[in-house]
Amino acid sequence: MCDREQLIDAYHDGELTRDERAAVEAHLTSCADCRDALSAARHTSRLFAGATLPELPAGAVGRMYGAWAVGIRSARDRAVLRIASWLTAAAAAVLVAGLIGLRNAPEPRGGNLAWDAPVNEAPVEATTAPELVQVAQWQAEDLSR
Amino acid sequence: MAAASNSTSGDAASPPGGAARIPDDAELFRRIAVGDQAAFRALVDRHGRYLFGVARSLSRSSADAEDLVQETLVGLLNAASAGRFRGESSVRTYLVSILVRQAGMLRRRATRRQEEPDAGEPATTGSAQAGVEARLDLHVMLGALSLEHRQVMVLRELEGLSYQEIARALDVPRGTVESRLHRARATLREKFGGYFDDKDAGHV
Repeated sequence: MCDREQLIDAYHDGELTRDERAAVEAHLTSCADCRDALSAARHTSRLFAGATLPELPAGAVGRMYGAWAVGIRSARDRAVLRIASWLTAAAAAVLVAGLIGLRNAPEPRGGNLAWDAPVNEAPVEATTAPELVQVAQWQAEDLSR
Repeated sequence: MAAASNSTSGDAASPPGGAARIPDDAELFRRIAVGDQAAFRALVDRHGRYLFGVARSLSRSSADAEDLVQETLVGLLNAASAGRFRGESSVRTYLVSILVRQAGMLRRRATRRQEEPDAGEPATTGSAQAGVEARLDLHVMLGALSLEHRQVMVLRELEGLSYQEIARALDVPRGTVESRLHRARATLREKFGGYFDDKDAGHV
């Protein structure tokens, strides 16, 4: 058993560079084990090329057709998840827009940020935006169930 | 593989004279992606027997093989609807790659449930006849090998993938593909050496 036999498989499979091929061919002239290994690899490939396939069991094609319904169902489930994640993203966008709205809102007297301001003086956006976020969040959760 | 020639040229041009054209696999796949069930059935008609044959050679029973084909086809439909397959290989090779991976996953699941390991099937059919071209059942030949060895042999000998492509399909290093192929062939040589004709004995 020659330790280069694994290389013979790679040679047979066309996986060697030109130089490696030349080296293997030189080696083959002097190594009977590797010549046998190459011959066996070729025989094996021929056996596979001529191998017979089993007959399909009765009704198998009909059952294969049935994969369609399963595939459609899982595609629909994925579509729902996509919509849910889109809604979550939309909710996040609304949140960001709301925060930007807050930052750009007329600054209350003396306060740095809107949420530092007294509640009764908070700009309108401060109350509406989070509600929208909540509604979108509920929708997303509902859809992803 | 005589029973399943690879019919996946990307040629989508109409033949002269406007004769009814049989859609190739790539076109069937495009139609499947937009929800054409008839195209899916046509693809099953074309490759179902081959897929089952390969699945049978990777499974313990005919029923397991059908389950494997079923999961493979669902996998194809998922890939079609998600636009994952971009025609980098033939549709048939893509199907077989899914199938071979699924076989590995099913086995891992079964091993976790501590079932009997896949023992393969004894090679009992056929007999060696000198000078006559021997034909063996695919699952008899592959039954002599471990699942890992069957996977690489299917992708190499039936689908003609390169070592790199096999490594990618199975998510193992290229060197692993190389050594598995070598050991698989050594086992087959040991078990089926009697079927080898001597057309190229000693010839380089």
